[in-house]
Amino acid sequence: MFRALLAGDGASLEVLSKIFCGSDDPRQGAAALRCLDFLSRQKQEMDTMTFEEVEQLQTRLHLFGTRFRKLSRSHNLHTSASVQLLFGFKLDDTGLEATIFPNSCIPTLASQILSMKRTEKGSLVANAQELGFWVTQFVSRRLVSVLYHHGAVSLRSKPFSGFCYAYLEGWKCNCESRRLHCRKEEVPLFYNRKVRLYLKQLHLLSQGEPLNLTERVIQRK
Amino acid sequence: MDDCNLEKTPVLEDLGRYIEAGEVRSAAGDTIDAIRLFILGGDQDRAAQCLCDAFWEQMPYGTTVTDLNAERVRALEEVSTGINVATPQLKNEVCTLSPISL
Repeated sequence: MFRALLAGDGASLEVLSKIFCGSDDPRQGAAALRCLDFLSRQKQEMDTMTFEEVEQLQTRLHLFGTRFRKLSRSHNLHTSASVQLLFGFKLDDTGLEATIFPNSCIPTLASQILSMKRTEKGSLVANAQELGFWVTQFVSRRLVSVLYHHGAVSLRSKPFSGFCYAYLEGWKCNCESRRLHCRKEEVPLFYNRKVRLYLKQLHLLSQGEPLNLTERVIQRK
Repeated sequence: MDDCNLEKTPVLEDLGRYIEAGEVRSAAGDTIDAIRLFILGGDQDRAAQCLCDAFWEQMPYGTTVTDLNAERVRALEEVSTGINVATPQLKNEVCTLSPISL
């Protein structure tokens, strides 16, 4: 994974994220989140995407959404081995203080929110519970930001817009329409595929919310 | 880790007790040497575990390679080529460019 991250190899990271997501091990969990976050930051040209490519993107974002939402609703997030590995900090023996690693993003991102002190050895220490709250807030914000952006881009993209068959039917010599070009007889097929995209989009934006009301309430507590 | 323990490592190396020497180096935060010693001692999985931890410390969430950690990441990349990991999880975490399905 780290080699792929260093090389910016999105294709390998996509395969790896699926492998890591299939495991309950905290290390693999952290690795899955690292891969999915990298992939969520990649620029997507949805205008030029085919139906298949959009579906692939939706699958990946659904994985991102479910993982990050689950994380954002976890209790005592600071005690999670996976979160400690991912964000680069370690709890002390009492579990009250967290030592932040020098390369962690926490000092940069949370310097104005979190009170941190430097020890005699030069390492940064923060209150573990406060750090946990910050991580929860950060993960929620990141999740909303990624899904909001995806939703906004989808609304403007070709696969989600209406069809234009005037050009391929020869009624127009040139067509500058931003809509998807198709033949008249292909419209029902394209329409079905579009409905599937919309349904998958709903699934994606639900972020894996439990169907059962009680489970939903428990998660939100 | 006190200096006394760290001073023991050349002796341990001379005695061929590479894994013990590696543990001492690892506890002292000297990861690169620790990995080399684990490889010498034939404990590839311990070397890979140490390498994974070191990579996580250098590249946690939201970070990239900067001037601050570039040298260390390069050293880790170099040392990773000498590791032949049997555990697919560890292999996927660091060493491979082509993912292995579990």
